[in-house]
Amino acid sequence: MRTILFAALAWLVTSAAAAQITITPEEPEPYNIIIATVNLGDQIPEGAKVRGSWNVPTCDWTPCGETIHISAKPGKHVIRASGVWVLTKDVTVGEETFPVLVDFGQYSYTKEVLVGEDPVPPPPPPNSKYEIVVFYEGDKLDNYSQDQRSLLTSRVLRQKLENEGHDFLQIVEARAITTTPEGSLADFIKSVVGDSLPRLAIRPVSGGPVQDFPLPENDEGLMKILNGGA
Amino acid sequence: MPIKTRDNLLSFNTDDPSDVNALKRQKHRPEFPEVWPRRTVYGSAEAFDDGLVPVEAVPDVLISESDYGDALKRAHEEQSLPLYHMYQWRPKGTRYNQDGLGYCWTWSGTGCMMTTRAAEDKPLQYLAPVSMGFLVNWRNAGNYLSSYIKGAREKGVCPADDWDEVNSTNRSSRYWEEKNQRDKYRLDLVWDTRRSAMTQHCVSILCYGRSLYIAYNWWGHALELVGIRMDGSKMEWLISNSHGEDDVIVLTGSRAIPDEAYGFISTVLAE
Repeated sequence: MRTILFAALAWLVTSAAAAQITITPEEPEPYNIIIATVNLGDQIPEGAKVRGSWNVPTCDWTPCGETIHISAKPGKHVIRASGVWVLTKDVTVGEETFPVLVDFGQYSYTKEVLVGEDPVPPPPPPNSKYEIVVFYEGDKLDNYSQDQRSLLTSRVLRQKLENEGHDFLQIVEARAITTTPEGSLADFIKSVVGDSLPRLAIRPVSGGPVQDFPLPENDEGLMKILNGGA
Repeated sequence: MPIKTRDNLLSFNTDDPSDVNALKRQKHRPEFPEVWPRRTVYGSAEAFDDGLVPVEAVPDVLISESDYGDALKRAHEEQSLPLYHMYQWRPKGTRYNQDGLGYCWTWSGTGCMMTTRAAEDKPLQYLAPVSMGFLVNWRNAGNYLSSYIKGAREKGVCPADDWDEVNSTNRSSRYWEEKNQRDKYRLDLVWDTRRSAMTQHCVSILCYGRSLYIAYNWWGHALELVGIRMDGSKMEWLISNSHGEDDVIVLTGSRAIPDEAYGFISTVLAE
């Protein structure tokens, strides 16, 4: 099992190195058109048919042939291109010709793009009380440090936060993050769309905008953010 | 016979025949297996089809045997183990009871669901184990754990109005169909474990704060594993049972290691 996984990973890494998503211009300005193209290069056999799709969850974008046109607000955005390819060969039997499957495969590439300057949220004012939501990737739970896992799981920490007047709302698995969230956590989810995880999102209990940060390394880092020292 | 631990938990030594008999006698019909041994192979396509992701298929940093003691000690100190999340929905003194119905497979699975929701800090919502009876056509019958997992992922578990309804043995399909809303309470990520590395996989998943849906073939019984603690070099397995106990029970001995176990990692966000 592991051998297969490592082989698959190696294939992905190799193909990611050879093929890539390119953008024009390379240093885009906010809300100006960015053209993204996926270059499959020699990653697929000659004559293969390709069916692909794009996704840029944090921007407005329009597919245009093999490229997409993107309009983006300032900040970091992730462009994803994925698809499948199929190679067939025509075989004639009697008077009819059929396409016969020779090979097939799939691709999936991402590119992180910085548009304008990365906006850094101002640190929260000191002595505020916050609603807290933590976003994590369930399938990477075992890769987080023990200190970060404690932020996700410790009831002692939850009690400490509650004693200080904060409201630990929920930890949310990455698959719940969508561009059209609903429910009481919608504002928190919108704030982390397209961001790398794990991530901390907080909002003053008294109301106000959601701010989000990379998940701190430990509870000291968390308390520092909540106390306005981020 | 079972003894009381220093913190007043009932402890059963699975290498002691009298303790094993005591456990088997808890069942309404001791000869009747309430759970069928797993039918899929770890890491197989069939297991994937049931929603079971092998724990070693995700980036695999598992706790090594030499670190069990330290990792579990820290998890107890920080109250990261699912035991402490379970107390959010099943405080000490609360009796969780399948009440003679051969439905341990759903009482334990639904317990895992509620513990996972507590670990995710979701609002407390009791769930009704018996509402999963549709998986066995509402008969009083045993089931595969993978069947419950698939049903909980695809259909979900019905909410219960109060604690009495959690322990309800009402097998009226119409009642639960009218109650509806089960799609809000669905299981999502589940990690499968390998029998030959069972202890390591269980310790690792517990230290990630998630409980395990387990079964013992010798007992024909399914339960929820919510913690392990070390007594010197001896492992004490902390188990949430559904025979009316008012707290977890402790299993020790060689047969305390489950024959199959599934870590419930997340539930869907649908509220």
